[in-house]
Amino acid sequence: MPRRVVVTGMGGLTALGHDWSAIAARLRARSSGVRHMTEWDAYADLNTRLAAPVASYKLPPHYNRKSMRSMGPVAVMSTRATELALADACLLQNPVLKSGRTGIAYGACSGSAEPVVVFGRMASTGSLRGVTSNTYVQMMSHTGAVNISLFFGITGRIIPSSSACTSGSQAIGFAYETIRAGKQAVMIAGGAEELSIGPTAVFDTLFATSTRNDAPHTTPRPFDRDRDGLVVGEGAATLILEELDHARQRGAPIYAEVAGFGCNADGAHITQPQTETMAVVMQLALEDAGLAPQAIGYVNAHAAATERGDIAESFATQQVFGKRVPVSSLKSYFGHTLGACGSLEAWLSIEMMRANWFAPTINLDNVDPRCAELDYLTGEGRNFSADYIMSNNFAFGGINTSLIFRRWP
Amino acid sequence: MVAALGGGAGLAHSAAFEFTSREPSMDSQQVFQTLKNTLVEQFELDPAKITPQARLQDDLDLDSIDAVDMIIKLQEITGQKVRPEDFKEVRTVGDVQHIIEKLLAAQAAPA
Repeated sequence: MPRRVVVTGMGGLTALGHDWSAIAARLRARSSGVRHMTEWDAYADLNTRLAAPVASYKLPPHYNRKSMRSMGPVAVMSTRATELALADACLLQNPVLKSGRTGIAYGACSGSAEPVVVFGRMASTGSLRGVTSNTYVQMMSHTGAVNISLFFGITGRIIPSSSACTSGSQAIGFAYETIRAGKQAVMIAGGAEELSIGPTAVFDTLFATSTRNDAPHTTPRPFDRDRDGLVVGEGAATLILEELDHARQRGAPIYAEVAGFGCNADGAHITQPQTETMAVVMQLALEDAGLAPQAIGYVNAHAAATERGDIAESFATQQVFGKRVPVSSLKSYFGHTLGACGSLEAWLSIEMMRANWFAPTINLDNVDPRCAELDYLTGEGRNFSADYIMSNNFAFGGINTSLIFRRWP
Repeated sequence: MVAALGGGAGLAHSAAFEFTSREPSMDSQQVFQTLKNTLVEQFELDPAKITPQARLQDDLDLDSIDAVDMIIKLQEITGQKVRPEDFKEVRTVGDVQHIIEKLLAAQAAPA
């Protein structure tokens, strides 16, 4: 009998608030986290002036100099989101955390940006000014994962999942497989992204950013005929995954079961998504869960509001599920939170499944006729009950992930 | 540097407490006060705890990583290269003060 994996804690820091009730109120109000970035006025060549920064948050006193010296913003958010999730799971004081039976799968596009400037200056001027004992540690791609380990004394395995926009979803998938294989009893899984100009400039250079600079609340527009690109977001989200018997024995809250995970690669183009392999990854997740497509009641789309991405994803989704599956994109509220989006969207999709209400894609006024026909949720969203939901994510380099969660009775 | 350690709020370096070669005659008390200010700023320490006798590890809770950053700071503000072996025997704030005085003396000496 393979081990079963359940979600026993969820938490995060987002543009719309830091707990489900605050976020749900904003989703129901169709309220976006996107704003104009006067902070970016200095970057004259940048086309977009839009982003969805994380809402301000307070750190408790135990976030002090010593506990934070190895952290840049992305590691701070990873750690704090994890603390909220561990508290939610009633695990903060549980000895399992330090027993070696708890591990971490966590990622982000990269470490923090400011230390990169220090090394950049070193490379261009020869000066080591500003290089400290922690400069590299804040910049390295697994900074979030190891800072979580230090902060909470986690001694199990660490799986860095820094794969751009699938960092959070791969973390959940790999964490699920780790528990299922009996390698750990508990896994901290998630992703984070700090807002920095680098990733924004990357998409800007590819003409993939939205430039509706004077109308922040009308963009991004996933699947909409008049979309003009993505808006970069910021945040962190952590799921606590746990082996079912372990969760039951300690009387843990159970939010959902991780029912299936698929992961593959396009092997084709560095930035252009491929419909065929996107459809394959959804099929892989269904096979892993032992489900027929009809079992899935809702699909949370990656849908960043880029032209190629939306179209390719809509056809892949239709190829697997037909035209009648309800679909929406949370990126219309949060922007594209890159390393965070996989876990952020998984968290909120589970909450929507529990609330029997699924948020609409805002700014979706006219479905792009070049997108495949699907049951796009618009307006006020929709009340219905789903036993299984799917959350899909796709990253640069052609990485595809598909997660399936089962309603916990 | 404090900012860099404190969550990436910025890597700007404070020049507020720099020792400079224009003040080779800085007396022992001035060196101590400047060191104290630097430690308070860099490691967010309680100023009352910083005495010449205070032990870096046991009294001020500084560890090897902090020592590395302290050496980097001393190099930055004195403009002199600190040899790791000079720091090996350092246990107290007074020991650090002694190293600074040696560095400043070397700086003041004619080439």
